[in-house]
Amino acid sequence: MDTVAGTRRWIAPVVGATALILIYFLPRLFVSWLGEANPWTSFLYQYGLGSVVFGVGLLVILRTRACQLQRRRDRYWFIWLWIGFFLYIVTHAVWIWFALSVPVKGGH
Amino acid sequence: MESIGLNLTTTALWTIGIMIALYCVIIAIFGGYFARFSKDINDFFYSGQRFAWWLGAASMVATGIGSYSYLKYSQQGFETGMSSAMTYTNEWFIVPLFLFGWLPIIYFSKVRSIPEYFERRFNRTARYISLTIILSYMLFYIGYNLFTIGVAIEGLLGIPMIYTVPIVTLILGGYVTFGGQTAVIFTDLFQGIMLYLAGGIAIVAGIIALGGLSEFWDWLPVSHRLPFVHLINDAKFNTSGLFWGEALAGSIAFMYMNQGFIMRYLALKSVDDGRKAGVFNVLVSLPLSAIVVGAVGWIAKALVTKQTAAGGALEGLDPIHIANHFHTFIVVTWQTLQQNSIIFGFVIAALTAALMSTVDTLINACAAIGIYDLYKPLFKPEASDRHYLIAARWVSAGTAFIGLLLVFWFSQQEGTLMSIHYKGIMIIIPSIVTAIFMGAFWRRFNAVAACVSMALGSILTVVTVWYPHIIDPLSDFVLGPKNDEYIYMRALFGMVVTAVVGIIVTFATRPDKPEKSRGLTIDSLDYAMEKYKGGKPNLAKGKKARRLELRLDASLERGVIGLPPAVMERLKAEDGDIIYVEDSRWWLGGLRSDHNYARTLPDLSDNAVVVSDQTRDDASLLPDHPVSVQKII
Repeated sequence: MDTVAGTRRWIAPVVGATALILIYFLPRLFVSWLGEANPWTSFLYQYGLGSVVFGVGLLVILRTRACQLQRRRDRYWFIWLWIGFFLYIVTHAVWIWFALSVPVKGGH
Repeated sequence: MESIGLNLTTTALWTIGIMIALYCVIIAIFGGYFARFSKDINDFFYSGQRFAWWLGAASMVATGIGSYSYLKYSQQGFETGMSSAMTYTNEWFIVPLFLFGWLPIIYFSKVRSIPEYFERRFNRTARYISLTIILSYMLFYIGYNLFTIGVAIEGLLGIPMIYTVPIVTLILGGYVTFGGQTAVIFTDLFQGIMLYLAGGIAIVAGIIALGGLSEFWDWLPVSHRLPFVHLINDAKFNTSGLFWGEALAGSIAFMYMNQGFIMRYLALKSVDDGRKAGVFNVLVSLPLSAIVVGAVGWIAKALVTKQTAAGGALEGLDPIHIANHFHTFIVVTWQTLQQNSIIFGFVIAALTAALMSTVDTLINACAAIGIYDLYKPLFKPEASDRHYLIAARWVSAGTAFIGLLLVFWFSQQEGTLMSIHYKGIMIIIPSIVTAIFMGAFWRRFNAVAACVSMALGSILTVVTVWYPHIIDPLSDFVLGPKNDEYIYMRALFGMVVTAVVGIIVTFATRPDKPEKSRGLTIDSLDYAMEKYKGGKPNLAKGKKARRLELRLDASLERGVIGLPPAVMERLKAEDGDIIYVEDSRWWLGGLRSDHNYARTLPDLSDNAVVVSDQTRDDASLLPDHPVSVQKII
């Protein structure tokens, strides 16, 4: 059969446990660091936990050989995955910075 | 003069009405024209896997924006600001598994619907459990869209929805029922352009009314400028809830499960085109759509803030008072367009377009499921395409009718549109999105586990409506909000429960036979590709060959294309490879095209290809028009 053999069965539980630990501790770290109301806390929540989901996704497609980087088209789309990810991070970060740095005429 | 709704004069009312009617007529004619390209049942639903990525991406715009989007997001934009865009800009995390997992799985396995995937991957019981959930999801959306357009027209013109909604449903049922997927894709392309144009007009008018872009930004409170809301404060709109409920459950439902979107991807000529359409959709279309549907709300907030500071109406405008935030879009656009009924009529026609383009996709999708998952397997397994086409049209009409009935149910519900929407969706989707994920990405997940986890997951999710405190520990774990509503956290709860039940049952029962999941899971895509092609995949990257003369040869079999050695070399193709042949006019987007198997014809001149009459007709290619060819796999 042409499926990928599960040679290292410990990987899935370890990745799952690591993800759970990160999901529990990362938000608490951000809140203790910046406070709940800080706009950067929401940003870090989304991209901190989003990175966990994104990372697990990358790991799965590489481990299962759904994405084979020696194939040109797969490499091309793999690079786009990273471009999209960072494009969103940078756009949102610049957006928050811009929102906070320009004074408001209404005074609040 | 008589004045109703938004203080519209009778003249303005007639002008707006004529604009909407004119728009509907144009759409019906447009859809009717493309109906001729549906030759068989496959064309009717999937357009035969032939369209270019940009056509799919463009039609996804109109599919993704519903009539409720303008109303809901403008309201949200007015109340919480630019964070209204969050739901459109948080999909990227699940894109890797979609591009490299789910998309190739459904494309290469040639499944017609998600329930069909469930039967092939698991068993018939799983198929019908998933069918029930997916139909609930789509009928909910159809009813909700029809309901919101009824509410909008009622608020605008004062006409009760009992009169307007049936008329809108009749028009929709007309062109979807007789048009099929090709009509839907092309009308959606047209409507997508209309949506952006109308949204753009409303935004520009608002910015001008404010005195320019810098005035807009300067008068917008910081809270309304930010792209994210408070982490947990607002029970109905908070970052942590949106991440779990919207970015994960909602996005998976939209990308992986929404039959309308699935059919868009299946209508494209290749997986690569599907990836292009998917990436373009998430990186470009969705952020743009977020602006188009939400910006009037942001502008409304800046206008009201500036008006308050000025102590009265702004120059050239009547005082803006939004008593019912649900009408933010309509009230502000009417004012900032200087009560110009022609332009306003166009914008409202676009609102109608948003409804039509979303509902037509959903009705078509319901018809696909109705035929492939109910009628064909249960009632009439062997019948002609013509029979199924007629049956599909009846199913489309029936679906539109059920949607219409649901409008009366929605009209009895209490609460805001936003809360009705998400409360419903977040209950329906968690179990099935989890089952799709586990089915596609975990080979060991078996049929018993799929059935039990979907059924139990759904039941337990519904139970939380009456016992919301069951969600407390989970919400606490992810540092989510703690309240009795748990709109988004309910989806996380449903996903976790379904996953846990699925894992336990999987390990407690025997695995399915390995052949059962072959080609249907992420770790067997090479096999899926081979099965799709009917031979070993050829992944060598070739170049497209353009403007070749199309010749006919009756001796060639149907579905075979003869190519000269020079073209084969350019394509990096071998005999038996799947070749995409299309009319060389790129802007047709693949309307006249088909997939065929390559065969080298050594004596053929370098600038020609050969097909049989039947193959040419299948592809709707025109005589005397050059063609382009491209190797797919």
